[in-house]
Amino acid sequence: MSLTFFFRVLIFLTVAAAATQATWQYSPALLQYLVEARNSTMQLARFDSRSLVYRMDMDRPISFTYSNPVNLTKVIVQPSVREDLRGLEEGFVYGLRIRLFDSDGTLIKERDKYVFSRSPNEVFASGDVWRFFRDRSEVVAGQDEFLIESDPQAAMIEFSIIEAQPGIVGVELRVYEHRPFQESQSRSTFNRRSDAERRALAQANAFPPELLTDGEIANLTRNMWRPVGPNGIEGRDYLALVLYEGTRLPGLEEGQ
Amino acid sequence: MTRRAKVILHLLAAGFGAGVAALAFAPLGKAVRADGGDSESFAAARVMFRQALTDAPDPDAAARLGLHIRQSDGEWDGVVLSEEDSDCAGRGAYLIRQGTSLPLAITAPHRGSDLHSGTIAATLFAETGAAAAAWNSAPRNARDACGAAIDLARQDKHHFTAFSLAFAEAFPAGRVVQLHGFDGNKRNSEAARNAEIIVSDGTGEPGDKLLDLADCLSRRFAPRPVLVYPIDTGELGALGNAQAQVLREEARFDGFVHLEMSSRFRAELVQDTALRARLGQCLVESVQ
Repeated sequence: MSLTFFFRVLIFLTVAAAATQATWQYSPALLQYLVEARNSTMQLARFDSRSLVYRMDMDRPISFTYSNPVNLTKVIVQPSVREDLRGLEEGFVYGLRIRLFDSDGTLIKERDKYVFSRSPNEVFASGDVWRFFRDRSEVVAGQDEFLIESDPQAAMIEFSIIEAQPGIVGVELRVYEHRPFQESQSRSTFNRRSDAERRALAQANAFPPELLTDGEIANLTRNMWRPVGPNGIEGRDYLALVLYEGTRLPGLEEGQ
Repeated sequence: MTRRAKVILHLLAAGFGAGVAALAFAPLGKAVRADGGDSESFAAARVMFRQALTDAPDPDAAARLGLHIRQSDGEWDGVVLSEEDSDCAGRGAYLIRQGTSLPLAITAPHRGSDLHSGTIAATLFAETGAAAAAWNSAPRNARDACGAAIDLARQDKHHFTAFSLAFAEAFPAGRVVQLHGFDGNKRNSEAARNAEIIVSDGTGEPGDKLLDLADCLSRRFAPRPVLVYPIDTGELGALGNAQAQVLREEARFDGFVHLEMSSRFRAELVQDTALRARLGQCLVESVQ
């Protein structure tokens, strides 16, 4: 049985009307989906911060001289490992020898510290932050942060690698000296910071920055650090690298 | 005299005094504004600069735009396009190297007000072999020596913008570097206050080219803080920069670099050849 021309036109118009209705109804949602997909792609690629880190020479120490003698030093350290070992379940172990000197160059403290570092894949799977170098093939394993106290005050700190598990390509450091703290200036120190920085400092507090008491502000400003650069010449005594950090967002697959 | 009359008399005297003061001390905002250009002059300048960058400058075309052409002083091979010294119309000064050169334009739109930025641009032009350089010829704010004032970074029809666009068209893989200066004490955030360099490509999403340059600067100047907008700081992003917008929108050029330097760092760069060489090396590497 064949349809007449009239019925063919009728069917065509019916289908066209249904398509128009569907387009009218669903196109805003479709457009919204496309916009969100585009935004999410951008967000996945968003970088949160850049930091300068100093890769140690495997055979020679690296030293940092403080701007003023200090009692407290903060160290952030990480190994970078071969890309093919990024999933190594047992992680990576390395050892550092840390030596502190006074302003006369006299050794005042020495300790060896062994650090266990989780594999890059484990860090990625379990954390919210992933770290990477834009221009290098090695991947960054678990990062550690520790404080080193010194009494009497130290004028210089020195690090050397005493052990590094095979597969570790380099060990990178960041060293911070504790800023001298004056309680009478804590509020002015706090107020000199931008709104974003004040909010970041106060984020662990139940109250917003403008409602903090002098005591609470003093506690926040007590814990301020200044980065210290290494002694020597870049390329000869150490390698300066730029470490990127990005926030891990939903939808980002492991290995990306 | 009644009390009301006294009040009126005082008001009249105050008004007269204010009027005299306004006439005697014209505010800088009312100072003579240098010509920012129009669409017609912009198009003509774009063609003229394009020809000068790829072939040889046309003296007649340059003259119609108020620019005089002269040969370089001999330390480098090329031409200088500028207005007459006595003119001070704010048309800008442009150096174009002839022969083999790096696809790099080093510019300083606020020479004078951003102290040392012009000197650094001129020195880097000479030391790196960059293809071109440019800077303002009238101050950002009016002065005794030059009543005209213009902020080139806000002028989208100015010769300076036409020059930047012509450069981007002549060297699509090149870099247009704009040198600026900032005062750390006037910055809001601790990060910006302590920074030596803040780079931006004039967008909220820095591209790979800018990050490559920033990484080079970070490594070469370690441990001096080199920040990238908006990753490391929310300040000095150059989002309203006229050249950045025109290059992006009209030439789809992604090689614009807005390079802000602290006053201390600028002073050091002028004095220290080795330090300046490090900056030059990063700029050179960015176009190789």
